[in-house]
Amino acid sequence: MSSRDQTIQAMRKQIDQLRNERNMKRMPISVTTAEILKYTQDNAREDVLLTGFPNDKMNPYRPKSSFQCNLI
Amino acid sequence: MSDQPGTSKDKPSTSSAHQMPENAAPQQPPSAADAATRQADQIEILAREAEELRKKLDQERQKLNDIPIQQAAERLDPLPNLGIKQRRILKGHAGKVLCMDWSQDKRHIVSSSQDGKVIVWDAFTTNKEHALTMPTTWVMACAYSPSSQLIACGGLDNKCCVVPLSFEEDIIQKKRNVATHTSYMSCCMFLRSDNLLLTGSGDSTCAIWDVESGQMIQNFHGHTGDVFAIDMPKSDTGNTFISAGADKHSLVWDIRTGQCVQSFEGHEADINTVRFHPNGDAFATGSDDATCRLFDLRADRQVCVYEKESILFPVNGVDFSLSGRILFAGYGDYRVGVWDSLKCTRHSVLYGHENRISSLRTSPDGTAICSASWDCTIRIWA
Repeated sequence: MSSRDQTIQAMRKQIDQLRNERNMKRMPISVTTAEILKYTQDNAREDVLLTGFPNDKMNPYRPKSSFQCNLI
Repeated sequence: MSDQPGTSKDKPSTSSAHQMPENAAPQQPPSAADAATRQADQIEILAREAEELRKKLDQERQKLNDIPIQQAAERLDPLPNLGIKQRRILKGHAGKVLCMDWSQDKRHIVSSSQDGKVIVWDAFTTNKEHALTMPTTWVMACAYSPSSQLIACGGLDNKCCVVPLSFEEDIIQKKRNVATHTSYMSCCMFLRSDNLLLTGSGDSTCAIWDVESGQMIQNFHGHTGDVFAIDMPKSDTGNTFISAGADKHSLVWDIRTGQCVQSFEGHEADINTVRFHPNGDAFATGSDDATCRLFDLRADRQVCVYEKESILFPVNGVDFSLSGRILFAGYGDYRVGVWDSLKCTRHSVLYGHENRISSLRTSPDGTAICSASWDCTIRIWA
């Protein structure tokens, strides 16, 4: 197969790809970001990098001598 | 348009994106001239059609861009004071640390470096549990298996090998090559099983390998440049993964068919790192263009850019906190940026590393982040 045939084949494939992408179902940003927001809020309590540990002793990476108290 | 056979500039003058090899049909017999002209015309038509489709695709995507995420996040409280500090420093590599990965036990870490060493650490105690010497320098990628019983690593040798972790004997003797690419192996991860390995390579492909047999199960062609990063959704039985690299695009792949199903653009330079949002419907990228970006799979477009005028250095590692609210980014200017992923503002900066950060990962339970650096250290922040 000549390199031109290969180019044509690659371009056809690309066009198929673009057609498929164009035809896919999309959701508005407002909807998808609302879901991201909801996910974040639903999981915020378990997110210790965000909220800190209820008790620093629970932090496996605490330095042994430190004392901290985070009330939530 | 010059289209005579035998001329040295025998290229279709359609688009620079579709360049032909230099020796493209230089010695076609005269009888093929007509056919060549027809082909050239066809290429031009196809290029125009592709251009049209791209425009329409952009329009479709633009239509659904109704409310910016920052605006949707306005009602949220700003990020509180986080109190994230450097808690551990893992010293032992003699060269630039290039990659790291967490074990699912949330405690062990594997790291690989430019001098060919792979080290397994206990991050709680900072002890080294294994130190392996690979036959190659620049071990660019390493990964822990889901069971934590295997590690995978490789790099400039174009290979990805697997080593079982045990304290019984010299484990390097049990090293097995699983994957072979035609250029360097830049990233690897296990696919929810100790027996499936996903790799990305400088040969611009990704591939899935059977660990037991070393057979390639599926390969993924579509990138037009080196692949630098791959990721898959965390808790999902889905059949997709994403890859990104030097062609500035992130591609979403169907694992079963090997087909690219979505493609995302926006970055202005190489994409070095990619990580799924914990909800599995969005992902973040980091690039040589000094920005991180958030892309949404269902909206099929970029959602926001994390950038600041004062940030000029490449992003080499990104990851989210457990809820997705915080985006951590490791930069070439030695710092970790802490971003509010929803308000798209930078909250704070973590200082400590003394050279560029090469890799950054949140621990599987979200209690800590780990950064690897060219300063030969790995640091745990919590």
